[in-house]
Amino acid sequence: MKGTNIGEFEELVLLTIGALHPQAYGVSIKNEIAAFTGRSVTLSTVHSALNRLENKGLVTNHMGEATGKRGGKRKKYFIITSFGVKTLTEARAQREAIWNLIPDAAFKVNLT
Amino acid sequence: MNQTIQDHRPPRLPQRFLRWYCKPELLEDIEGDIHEDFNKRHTRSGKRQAYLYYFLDVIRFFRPFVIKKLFKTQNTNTMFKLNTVIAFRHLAKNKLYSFINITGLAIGIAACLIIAHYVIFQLSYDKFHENADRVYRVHNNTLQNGEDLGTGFYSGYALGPSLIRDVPEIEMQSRVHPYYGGAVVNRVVDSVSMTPFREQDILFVEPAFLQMFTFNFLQGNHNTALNDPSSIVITESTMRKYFGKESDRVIGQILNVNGGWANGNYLISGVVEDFPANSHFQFDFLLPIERVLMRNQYTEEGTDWGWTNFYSYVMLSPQSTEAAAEAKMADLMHTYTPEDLEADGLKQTLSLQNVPDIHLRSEITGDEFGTVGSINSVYFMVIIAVFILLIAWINFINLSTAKATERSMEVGIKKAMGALKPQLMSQFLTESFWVNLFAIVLAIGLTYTFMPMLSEALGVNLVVDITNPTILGALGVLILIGPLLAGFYPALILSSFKTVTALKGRFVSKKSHAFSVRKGLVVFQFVISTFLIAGTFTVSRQLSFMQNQDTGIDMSKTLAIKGPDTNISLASFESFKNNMEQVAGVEAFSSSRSIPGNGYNWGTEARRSGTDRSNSGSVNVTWVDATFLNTYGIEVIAGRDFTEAQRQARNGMIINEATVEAFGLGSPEKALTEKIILSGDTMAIRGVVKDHNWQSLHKAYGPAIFLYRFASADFFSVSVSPQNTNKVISELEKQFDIAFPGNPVEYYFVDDFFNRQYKEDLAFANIFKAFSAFAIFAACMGLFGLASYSVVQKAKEIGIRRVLGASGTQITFLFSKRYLLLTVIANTIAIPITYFGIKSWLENFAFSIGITAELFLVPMVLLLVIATLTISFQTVRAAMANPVKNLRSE
Repeated sequence: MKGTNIGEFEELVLLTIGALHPQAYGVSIKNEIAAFTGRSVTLSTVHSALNRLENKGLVTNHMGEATGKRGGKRKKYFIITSFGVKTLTEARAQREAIWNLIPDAAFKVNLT
Repeated sequence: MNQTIQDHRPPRLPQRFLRWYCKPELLEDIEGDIHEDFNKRHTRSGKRQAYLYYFLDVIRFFRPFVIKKLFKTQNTNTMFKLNTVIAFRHLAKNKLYSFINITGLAIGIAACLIIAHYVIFQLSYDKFHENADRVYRVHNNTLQNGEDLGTGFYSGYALGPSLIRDVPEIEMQSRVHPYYGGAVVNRVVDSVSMTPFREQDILFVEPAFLQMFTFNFLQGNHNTALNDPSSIVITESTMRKYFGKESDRVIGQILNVNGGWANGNYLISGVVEDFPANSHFQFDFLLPIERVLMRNQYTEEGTDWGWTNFYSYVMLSPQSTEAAAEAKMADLMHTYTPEDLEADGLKQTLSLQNVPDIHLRSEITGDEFGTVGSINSVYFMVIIAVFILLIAWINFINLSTAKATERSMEVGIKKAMGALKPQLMSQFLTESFWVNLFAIVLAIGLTYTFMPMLSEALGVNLVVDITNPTILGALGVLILIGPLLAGFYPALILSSFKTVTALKGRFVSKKSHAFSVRKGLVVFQFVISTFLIAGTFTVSRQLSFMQNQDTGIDMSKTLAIKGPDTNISLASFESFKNNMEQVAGVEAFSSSRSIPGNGYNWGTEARRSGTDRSNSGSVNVTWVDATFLNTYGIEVIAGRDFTEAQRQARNGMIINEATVEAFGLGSPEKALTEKIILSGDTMAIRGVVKDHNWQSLHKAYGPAIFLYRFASADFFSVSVSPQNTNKVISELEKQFDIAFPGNPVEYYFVDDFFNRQYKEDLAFANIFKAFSAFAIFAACMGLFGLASYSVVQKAKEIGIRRVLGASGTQITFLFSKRYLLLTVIANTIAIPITYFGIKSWLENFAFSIGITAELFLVPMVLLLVIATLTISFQTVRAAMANPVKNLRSE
C-alpha cells in the first residue's frame, strides 16, 4: 500500500461517496462529480479509482437491489470505511495546516 | 431528469466483448453501470449516440484491472522452457537415437529442398521475359488423309509477314533463321583476321525480336541494334571470348562471319547479357534477317513457302487472346498454298504456343532446340520428394514409438503426479519440434553441400537460394507441420499409457496397435525403397544397353572430323583425302553431309513410282560418298554400294529396310527393281542396307535414304585401326591445317558423339540414383534404429537364451527374422507398382531392354542383403554380448 496518500481524483471520488451516502454507486458518483466540477468523467475512470480505493481499504461495498434500468443488474454501493474517514480528515487537516501557513502577502501579490 | 427512462437492449457485440474480457467479479457492476448510462443516453440523445457511447465505454473498460487472465502466457512459456530442457536432456542422453533421428530427417528435408530448387528452376523457364505471357511461337500441325503427321514449327519466310497482315491480334512478329551448320567467326582488326572460332549459336532475326524478348543491353540500344543489315549483336560471354580485356568498348568493331549463309563483315551494334540458363533457346550472335533473305535460295520464285527453314515468334496485343488469334490463323496455310497441300492430301493447322510453356509442355513432335524438359519429369521429381519426406517422417515416428519402453516410467510418474494428457502431449510435441528444427538447420547445410553435385549431374547450374519465396514457404510449412505430423502419433501413443501399467514397466502388450502401425510404416518404406532400387537398376541397365547396343553402325573405331567452313575447294579436299588415306592406320576415308548421331540432312516426301501423291510418306535423306557405308560398316543386304565411277544421277539411292516396308516395295531384292519418287525426282534403287540406328535408341527405325555426293565439306570420317589412333590424330591435325588453313580442327570418336544424345537420360539416371540412395539410406536408418531398440528391450531374453545354450547364430536369426519378413512383405507389394513404373518409363524408348524377372529379383535380393546387414549389425552384437552383464543389470 502506498500509505495514506491518495491522489486528487481519488480524493474527489472519496468525498463524493461521502456526499452521496448511502446512494453512492458507479453512475451516481460519475454524475455527481460531473455536476460539481464540470469535468467530463468517464465511467471507467471512476471504476478504476474505486478499484484503487477499495484496494487501499478506504471504501467498502455491498450489492444493492436489481433494477430494470440497468438490464437487471444490481448496483454496487460504496461506503467509506473508518480508515477512509481518517484518511480524509488527515488530508483535510494537512491542507488546512498548510493554508494557515500562507501569509496574506502571498495572495496579495497574486491579485495584483 | 423528469423523463421516464426505459430499458433498452444494448448492442450485442460490445456486450459480448465486455463479458468475454471482464473479470467475473466485476462484471455485474460494470455492465450494469454502462447499461444505465446507455439507457439514459438512449432516451435523451437517441439510439445511435447511445450505441456509440456503449461501444466506447466497453473499450474504455478494457483496462488491466478489469481484464481477466486471458492468455496464460507466462505459464505456457515456462512449460515450453521446461519441456525444452527435458527434450535437450533426452536428446543428449540417447546420442545414437538423436543422431539417427535428426540426420534421417535432415537428409529427407535436404532432398526435398534440392528437388524444390530443381522444380522451381524447371518451372521458371522463359518467365524472365517481361512480355512472356503474350509472346508465342507459331506451330504447324499436319494431317495427311486424316493421319496425324505431327507438329513442327518450321515454315517458309512468307509466313511471318502474312501473320501480321491477316491476324490483327498480332502486334509484332519476328522470323528466325538459324545459322544451319554453324560458321567460323573471327575478329577483324585493320583488315587483319584474328584467331577464328567455330560458332553454332547464331540466329538471323528481325528487329522486333529485340522488342518481344527481354534483352539486357550492356552496350548499344535495343530499338536500333538490328536496323542496319550489316549489324551484329553479341552476348557478353562472346564479347569476352573475342575481345578479352578490351571489352569496354566494342561497338563498331568488326566481326567476320564465314559459313554457308551470309558471309561477310559485320559491325557490332550491341552487347547483351547472356540469357539465363532457363531459356528455351540460347544464342551467341544475332544477325539481321535481311542478310539471309538476300540469298538466291530465298529470292527465287516459289521459295517463299517452299523453303521451310524459318520459324516465327509473335507477340499478341495486350487485350487479345490466344484463342482469337489462333482462330484467325489456323487455316492460313490453305489460303496461301492451297494446291500443294491438296495434291499431297495434307491438312495444315497453325497454332500458337506460349513461350514459357515450350520448355515443359512442348507441342512439337520432333526435335526441340536446347534441353527439353517434360512436365512429367517435374511431377516425377515432386513425387520422389514427397516419398523421401514421408520416409524420413516415418522413421521419426517409428523411432519415437519404439522408444516407448524407455519413456514409460517417465510418463507413469508424471501421470501419477497429476499430469494431464494434453500436457504430456505438449512435452512430446516440444521434443518433436526441436528435433525437426535441428534437422531443418542441418538440411539447409546439406543442401548447400550437395547442390553443386546435383547441378553437375543435371548439367544445370542450380544455386541454392533459400530466400526464394517458395523455398521459404516450404521451410515454414516444414517447421510448422513437420513436428505436428511426425510428432503427433508418438505423442498420442506415449501419453496414453495407463499410469499403473506404465509404472510397472509392462505397459505395452505385444498385440498393441502401436506396433502393427509401426510395422506397416516399415513395410511402406521398403515398398518405396524397392521401387526406387528397381527403378535405378532399370534406368542404368537401359542406359548401358543404349550405349552398347549394336546399332548396325561401326562407331567405336571411327573418327569424325567437322568439315571446314572457309577456304574450301575441291582441290584442297582431294589433297586432304589423299594424304589422309596414306596415313598408316587409316583404313578408310569418307566425306558426308551428316554422321550418325547428328541427324539427317533433309526431311522430305517420297512415294513409290506408279502411285499418286496421296500415298507419299515422309523420309529422311543423308548425302554420303562411295566409301561411307564401308567406313561405318553398314551392311548392304541387297544391291550395291555407290561407286565413284558413276555420276550422281545414275548412282540412284540406297534405302534401308524400313523404307522397303514403308513404301510397299516387297523384299529387299524386289525393291531393286522399283523406283522411288523423292520430292518429285524419280530415282532408281541401287541398294538396300540393313536397318541401323542413325539416331538415338529413343527413336524407332524409320524410312531413311542415302543419296550420293562425290564430296561433302560437312563431315569427314576416318576408320582407324586401334593401335595407331594417336598417330592418326596428330597427322590429321597437321593435314587439316595444311588443306584448310583458317579453320579450327574439331574431331571426335563417333561413338562418343553418338552417345552425347543420351546426356538427358544420363542426367535423369544420375538424379534417380542420387535420390534412391537417399531413400534407401533413410529407410535403413529407420530399420537400424528399430532393430537396435528391439535388441535393447530384449537384452534379458537374449541373456537367458544364451545361458540356456542358444548359439549366437540362432539368436541372430531369431531377431533378424521378423524384420526380414517385413522386407519380404514389402517386396511383394512393390512388384506390381514397380512393374507399371518400369513399363511406362521403357515406353519412351523404341529400343529397350524389355521387362525381365531380373529387373525385380536383383533389387529384391539387394534390398534383403542391405536390410540383413543393417539388422545384423545390432543383432550379432547382442548375441555375442556377455549374457551375465545383461542379466545382472536391473
